[in-house]
Amino acid sequence: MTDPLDPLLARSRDAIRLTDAEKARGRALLATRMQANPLPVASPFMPWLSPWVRGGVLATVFLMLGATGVAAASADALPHEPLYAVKVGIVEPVRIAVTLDPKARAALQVELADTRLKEIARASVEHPLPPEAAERVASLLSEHIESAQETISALDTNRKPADALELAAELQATLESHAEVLTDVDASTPAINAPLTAVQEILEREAEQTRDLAEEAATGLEDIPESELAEPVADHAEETGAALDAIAQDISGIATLDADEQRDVQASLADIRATLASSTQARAAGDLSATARLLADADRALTDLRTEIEADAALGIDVIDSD
Amino acid sequence: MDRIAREREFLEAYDAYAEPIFRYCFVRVRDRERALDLMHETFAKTWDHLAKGKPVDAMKPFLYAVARNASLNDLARKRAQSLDALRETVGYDPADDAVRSPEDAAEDARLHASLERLRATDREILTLRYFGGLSVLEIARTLGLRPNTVSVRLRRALDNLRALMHIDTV
Repeated sequence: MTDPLDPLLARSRDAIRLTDAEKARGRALLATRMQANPLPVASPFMPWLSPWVRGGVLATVFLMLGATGVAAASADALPHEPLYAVKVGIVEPVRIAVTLDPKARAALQVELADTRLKEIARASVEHPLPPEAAERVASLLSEHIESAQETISALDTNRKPADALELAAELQATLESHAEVLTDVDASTPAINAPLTAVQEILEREAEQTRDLAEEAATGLEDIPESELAEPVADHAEETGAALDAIAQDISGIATLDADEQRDVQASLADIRATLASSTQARAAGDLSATARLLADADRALTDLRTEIEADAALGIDVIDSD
Repeated sequence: MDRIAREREFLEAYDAYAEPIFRYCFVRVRDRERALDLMHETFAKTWDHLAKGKPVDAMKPFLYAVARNASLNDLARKRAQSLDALRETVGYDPADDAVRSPEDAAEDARLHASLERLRATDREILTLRYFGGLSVLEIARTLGLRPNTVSVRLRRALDNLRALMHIDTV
């Protein structure tokens, strides 16, 4: 049987060609890159160990050094302070190196992006950043975001769209909620704050890209049998429920929230509880794709709320959204 | 294998797969310059991966997985342009139309317009198979699917494409 589509596809394929010049130029570019970034030679440091095990040994050495207290002291360092180099040059790279699970690693990158954004907001309120420090933080922020996005794409490609959606929703909400906080910070600072503008541009661009990754992962859910979704959805439901409980418990102890803000926060929590209740119903009905989407919605709302509450407490400006 | 042999092997992979990867990227982003950039990016990222000492089990599916991610990121950034808009630019120009008949060129445009109307998963699998030149097994490795699933989706995607183009098998 002849399929009339075959010659059509073959002709179309053959019409898309590289010229000899394009191919040669690409080869030359690649050869240059290969020279600049050569293959590794065996490490002189315990070469019989795999890179991962070597990383573990280095991390152990680091933890022993951490007993001096320098690592702990660097935790709250801001970009213009001396200990910041320890924080972003040693402490965080070791945390990343010892996190082997791809999903946990991406979650860590989202957490570090959140940390960078909090630093930017705090520094903008307390101590405007010198341009080179602002540039460094923005560069680190981009690295965390891109690394998380790469893992999200890889999870989606590797038939794990539920995990990809969970992470994408959290990253998206982190970027969008911090963008709102930085807008409030910008409005409360008297002069034009150029570093904030640059970070806002990064957030706008990356949030859009992350939104697309989330949509792609949500579409991918339809291609996965329900049996493969059961475990990640159950884990996700448990984590989101625990996160909601934690925020609900913490809220009454936050002195910086006035009565109006407490009311707004309680209203947001009620909305999130309703979304979680819908996800429970969808799960009971056996619709795990819908469950995963609803859990992602709840995660987004929780991340928004947490970012606003933390910013309100740390920055001393009113950022709780009453809408 | 020593470093020089591995470098030579990688350049041989470039010689073998640069054009099919370019085709795959072109069909995804429908812009010659962007497809060229994505093809370069694919090989550069794969090399960087190797240079970090990380393993690659099967080079061809790995390259397509990298090309797929790069294309997705590119589309997310720039959004795919509509075919109509592309015809008005230099972008939609896969080949020198002087060597193709106007009928072939029109049929080609109709094919791409129909591919564009397919579901993303259908378009993906057809692009990998017919423009990337991957076997069912290689597509399965690239997308992390079972070969049987790929076969089923491929058949369904072809049916959907035929329906859109009003083509009956004879």
